[in-house]
Parts: sequence; C-alpha cells; structure tokens
Amino acid sequence: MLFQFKNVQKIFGIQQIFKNLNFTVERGTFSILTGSSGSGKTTLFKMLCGVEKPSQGDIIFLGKKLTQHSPAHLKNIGFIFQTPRGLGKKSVIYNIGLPLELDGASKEERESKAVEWLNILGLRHRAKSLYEELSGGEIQKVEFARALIRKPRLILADEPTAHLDTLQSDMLLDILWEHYKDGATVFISTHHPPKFHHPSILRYHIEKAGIRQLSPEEVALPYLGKFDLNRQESQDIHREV
Amino acid sequence: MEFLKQLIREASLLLAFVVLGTLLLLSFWISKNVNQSLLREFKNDRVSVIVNEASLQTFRQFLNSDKNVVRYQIHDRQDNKQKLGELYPELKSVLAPLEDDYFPISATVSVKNGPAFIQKLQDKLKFQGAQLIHRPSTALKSFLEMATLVFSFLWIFALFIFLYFQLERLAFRESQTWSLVKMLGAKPFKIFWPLCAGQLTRIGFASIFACVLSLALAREFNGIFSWKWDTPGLGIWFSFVTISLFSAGIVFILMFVSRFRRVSLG
Repeated sequence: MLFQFKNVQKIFGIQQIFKNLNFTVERGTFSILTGSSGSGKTTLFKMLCGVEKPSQGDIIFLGKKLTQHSPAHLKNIGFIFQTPRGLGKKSVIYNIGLPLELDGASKEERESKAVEWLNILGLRHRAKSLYEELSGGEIQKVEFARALIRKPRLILADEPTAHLDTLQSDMLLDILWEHYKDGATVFISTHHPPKFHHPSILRYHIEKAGIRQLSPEEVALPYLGKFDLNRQESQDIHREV
Repeated sequence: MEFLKQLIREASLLLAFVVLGTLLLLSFWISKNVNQSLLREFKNDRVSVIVNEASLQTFRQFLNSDKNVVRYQIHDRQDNKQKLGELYPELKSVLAPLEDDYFPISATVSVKNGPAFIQKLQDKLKFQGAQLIHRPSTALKSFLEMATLVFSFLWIFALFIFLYFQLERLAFRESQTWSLVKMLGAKPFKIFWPLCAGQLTRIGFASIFACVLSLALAREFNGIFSWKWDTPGLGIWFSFVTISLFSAGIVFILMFVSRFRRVSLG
C-alpha cells in the first residue's frame, strides 16, 4: 500500500469537499481520477502532497502519517500541478535540471539530461528561453519534464494535459505509461482520461464527497442511467472509453 | 518607491543595531574601567578597632595571619591625640595637657568582609570596640552592570528585529523558489546557507562599524573628562564581533526554520 486515506474529511468554510473518505492507492498501479470541476480533485492532490491538511482523519504514506515523513521523501515523488510552479526568471533548461541540481549533480549532467527531455518533448529550441516566456502548453511540458527527470517512483499529476492538444496530451500520457511499465506508480487526475483501455488502469471518480472506483463494466459500457446522469464529465469518460 | 521604503527600513534597523552595539561596548568599557579604577580604591570594608595595649601583640599577629585582612594601620595613643587635635582645633589647648594614657590605641583595618572580621575579633580575641566605618557603595557598580545588561538586551532585540524583517523580505521575494525547492524535497539548508552568509556579512560589517564608533567615542570621552582609561582593546572587539555573528547565526537559523515550515509546498 502506498497511500491510504483513513476517514478523511475536508471542509472549506461551509463546503464539505470530502466526507469520511477511505481510499487506498497501491504500489505499481496506474490510476486515473476523474470528477467534475470543483469536485475536489486538486484538493485531493494537495492533501497527497501535504499542501492541504485534512480537516479530520489521516493520510498514511508508506506506513507512516504524511506529516511524519521528512522532506526528503518528496524526492521520490514527481509532482505535476495544474498551475505553473517554475522559476520565471530562469531558463527552461535550468528549470528542468533543478531537481538534479538539488541532488548535487554537475552542470554537465543536469544539462545533458534536461536536453534529453527537451528533445523528447520537442522543446529543444526553447532551452535557453526564460520560463516566463513560454506558452501555456510549453510550460506544461516543462513542468512535466522537471517532475520526471529524477525518474520518481511515484508520479502525482493534477490535470497534466490541461493546456495541451490531443496529440501532445497523448504523448505525455504515453510517457507516463512508460514510467508505469518501468515500475513507477502513477496517479493522475484529469478531465481527459487516456483513450486507450488497459486492464491495469484503475479508474476512480469523485462524487458525493467521496471517491468510487469504477468497475470494468462501468468503464467499458455507457454510464448513462448508471450514475450521475447530470454530469457532462461522466459522459466525457463514456465517450472516450 | 517600495524599494526606497524597504531600503530606509533596512538601513534604520541596521543603524539601530550599530548604535546599540556601540552603546553596549561603551557601557561595558565604562563599567570595566570604573571597576578597575574608582571602585578598586574603595572596594574594601574598613573597620576601626580599639585595641587594648596588652593585646596589641596578639592583635598584630591576628591581623598578619587573617586572610580577610587586606591592610591595616595601627595608631598609638599619641597619634590619636594628635589626630583629635587636628580634627577639632578649638580643643587643641584642652587636649594638649592631657596625658597620652587618656587616649586609646586604635587600628584602621581594610578587610574584604567587615562583619565577618568583627565577628572573628569578638570570638577569638574578645574585642568589643570594633566598628565598621566604611562599606563600598554598590550603587554605581549596579547601575553600570544594569546599563550593560539593558544595552545587551536592546542590542539582541535590534539584531532579532533586523533579521526578522530581512527574512520576511527574502521570503516574500523568494517564496516561489522556496516553495518549488521544498516540493522537490531539497533540504532547507540548500537555501539557508547563501541567505545566512549574506546576513552574517551585514551583521559582521555592522559590528565592526560599532567597534570603530565605540573606539572613537571612548577617545572623545577620555579627552573631554580627562580620563586616562585604556580604550577598548582588540580582545573586546573580537569577542563582540564573534558574539554578534554567533547570535545572528543562531537567531537566523531558528527564524528560518520556522519561516520555511510555513512556505507552502509547490
């Protein structure tokens, strides 16, 4: 077991986001979380990262409460957030190589690995550009490269393809899939789940302040009439599957 | 405009640190010199003792052997008669015909602890005619010590406030970097050392400036009041700068750890 939410409640003011949430993410899984806007996907991610604390309950990570881990455990996690987190006044190549710099890697090593990622993502020509000069889609790719450059064992991605077209979004999802096949645990929240189907992919949906795992039947068959008829989100999932 | 405000605030805090550091050094210097000059002269208790002639030899032996005694002076009958005459010139003619036997033999003894000395005299030699005639005033010493303590406190407080505002400014400017670095699992000390080095450099320069200022003021005081006190030496300067840097380092570590904890992840 990698992550476990034990009776987690999250309340913002009078709005209850999660109520008695019990949810587990196993090691070596590829999980996709869907849910309508404002349902709590980002909040769930923030709780996983430790940015937000649950109003009640505990989050267990590798057998210990999240708060009991040292900051060093974050080195094994690749975070991809919805919003840009990079250093605006620094170059793209610096931003991508930053995790390696913090690990003490030499400049040559950092830059060669960053360049590899830039080539993969088609951003080689942007290597020396400032982060703040990039477009939304390019920023998303740089965030992606920075999160994965250390080859983390756990990848948490909150809407990693939000600013990308279908082709590029598929490319990033393929990269995540490759990491999963190499043994990483991947947990993504998205409005646009991958179009391919694989029995290993676990799909979850946030509804009614809780998380429900979708059964293979629900994934493979139309959702209409089964749950949440009013949500466009469910229909999106259905169409893509 | 914001930058100017920031600069003025920073400069004024640093100036307060320098001024308080200078006052601390001066206060320490005055306190040390007063202790070494004025107070050393009067720092012992003085006891006056009426001595029986028969016990004079025993008394002398006692004075020579007692470690409490700093120095003593024995006045014979004639001395006392003469001193009384000098003290009251109008009685000189009355005192002159009196025989020396009417006047006592006495001793003025400087001791470290007056009451203990008198008690010992009573217990060992059965002397009754002893009285404490001088106890050094501790008010000036206490005042100077208190002044040094107050300036030390204010100086540390100024250091604390200066570092606090510096850290808040840096945290505001660098929050994105800190947040990202924190998310990437870096140890806080990766960020801490460069920041700490910058602050310690400022504190170091400010401390040296305070030392130079205190030296200049000490020379001025010596000139104005015709004191012949030694100006603060290298030892005091070195200690002051070292303590400044050490305190700044400790304060900055504590504040940084607390501030870094509050930086959100990512």
